[in-house]
Amino acid sequence: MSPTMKDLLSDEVRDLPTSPIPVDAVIGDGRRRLRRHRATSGTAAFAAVAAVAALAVQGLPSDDGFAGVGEFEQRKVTYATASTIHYGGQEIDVSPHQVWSFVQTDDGFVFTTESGDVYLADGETVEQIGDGNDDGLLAADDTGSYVAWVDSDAEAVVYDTADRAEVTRTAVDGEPTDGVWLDDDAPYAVAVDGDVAYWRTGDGVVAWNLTTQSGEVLVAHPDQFFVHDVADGRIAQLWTPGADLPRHVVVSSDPDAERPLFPMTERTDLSPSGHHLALGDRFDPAGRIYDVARRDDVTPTLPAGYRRVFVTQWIDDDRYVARAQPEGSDQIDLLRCSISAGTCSVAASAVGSAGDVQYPVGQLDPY
Amino acid sequence: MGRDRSEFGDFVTARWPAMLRTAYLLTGDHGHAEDLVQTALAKCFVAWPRLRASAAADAYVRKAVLNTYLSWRRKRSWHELPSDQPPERAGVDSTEGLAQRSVVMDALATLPPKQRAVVVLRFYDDLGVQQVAQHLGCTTGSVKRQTSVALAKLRTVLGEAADLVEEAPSVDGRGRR
Repeated sequence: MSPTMKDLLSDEVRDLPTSPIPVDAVIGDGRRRLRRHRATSGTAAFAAVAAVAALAVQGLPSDDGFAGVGEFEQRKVTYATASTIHYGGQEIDVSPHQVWSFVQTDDGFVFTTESGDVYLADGETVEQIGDGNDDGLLAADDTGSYVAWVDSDAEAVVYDTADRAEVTRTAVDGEPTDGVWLDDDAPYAVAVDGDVAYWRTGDGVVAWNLTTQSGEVLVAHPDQFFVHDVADGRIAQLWTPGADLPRHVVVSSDPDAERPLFPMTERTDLSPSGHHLALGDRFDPAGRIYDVARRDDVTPTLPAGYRRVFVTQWIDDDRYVARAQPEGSDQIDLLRCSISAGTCSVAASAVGSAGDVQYPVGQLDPY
Repeated sequence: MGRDRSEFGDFVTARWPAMLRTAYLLTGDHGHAEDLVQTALAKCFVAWPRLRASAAADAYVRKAVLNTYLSWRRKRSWHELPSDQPPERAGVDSTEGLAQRSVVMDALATLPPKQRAVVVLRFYDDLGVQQVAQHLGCTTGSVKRQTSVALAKLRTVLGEAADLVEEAPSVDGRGRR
């Protein structure tokens, strides 16, 4: 009778050479890791750190358990040119790689290269964490440590930059089951919101719960509901009510609830809490900021002489950064705006030519 | 809660042998296996204050081994890389224990990292589909697919010894023994 696979594997390890168990070396390695974590977290409150970690990865034994307390937790005016990521006054060199697209997490910057490789830059090291992201599309939350993408093997990946490990890798299918084809067949990551990642597949938009590691089809007809962004449970979608009816942007946390309508635009970004909505369109030189609940236009006053103004990142729920081009120039200025103050000022001028500057939006300059 | 050296040392001493065996089946190299387990347990040290109070320490260390293994493999910092070429000894007499074991390890080396992990977790560690999915952060369907593909490849590579892999674990993870 043939032995079983279990027997064979057990036999293979039965006679492994025995050597002293390196308890001291393990603890020494552990202490070094602990010091590194404390140094980068910027806090000495271990209990608080552990509590944050437990909230971030509850139910999932994580790789090291210190999620969400990274060195780059603060959002600053950020952009990339060639091999340099500019973060406030800090420059992060990722050479020899060139940044194709990127996003920020609390622990650093995840960027793609033209060849589809995915890297994490934490200010000290640049580590490859994936490949096959041929479209260069990344999704990340406004805060936190998760970043999502879909690779060329049609597998959706969610990577935790705090744990330095994938938390999800699951097959996604671009083939529609109901005959409704996407305008772009390839599945891609749409957004990350808390512990839910959203990706677009042939069956619609899937909401994948990272705690339970299960997904549900959130929007079954992606041709009618094109999800742009999700923030704090609020979903911004492009909605086509009918063949001859105008398209709108709708925001809702409940697909059946009454949805506030906004003009259709090319770019749609919710603020971290979902209270504000940034709309950008090349035919509207100013870009628009709306109060979602009141549907009021709360766009701050722009300095004169700019065109092609698009929000590139939210600093918090009130402040944001926008790229803007001075009239008659192809150089990019970055504006820092405050909704409550109603004003914008130049945060960085002439950072590069249009097309040469990348923004933390998870795709190659879409503007 | 602090990091009681004696208590964590006892944990390392207790878990090291079993984790080393799993790591060896994943890596195929004793030195790599030791490095892998040491790294995984060092990560556990960081999380120990909350792990020690729970029953999750064993699951945590196994997941740390897997995450570290897959991470190292992704970075291609591994000497033993999967190959589509079957081992030359595929036709070995399946009754010869030593040669048979080598054939199995060679066959495992042809699998991509995740498929190899699935085979080791299901067939050696006796984990069920759901547990493997939780450890690897994927769906149960993905585990089943990976198992099926891995077994098919092992059968092809093993040739005459293919009956060795006929016994797939049932859904609860137990083989028909």
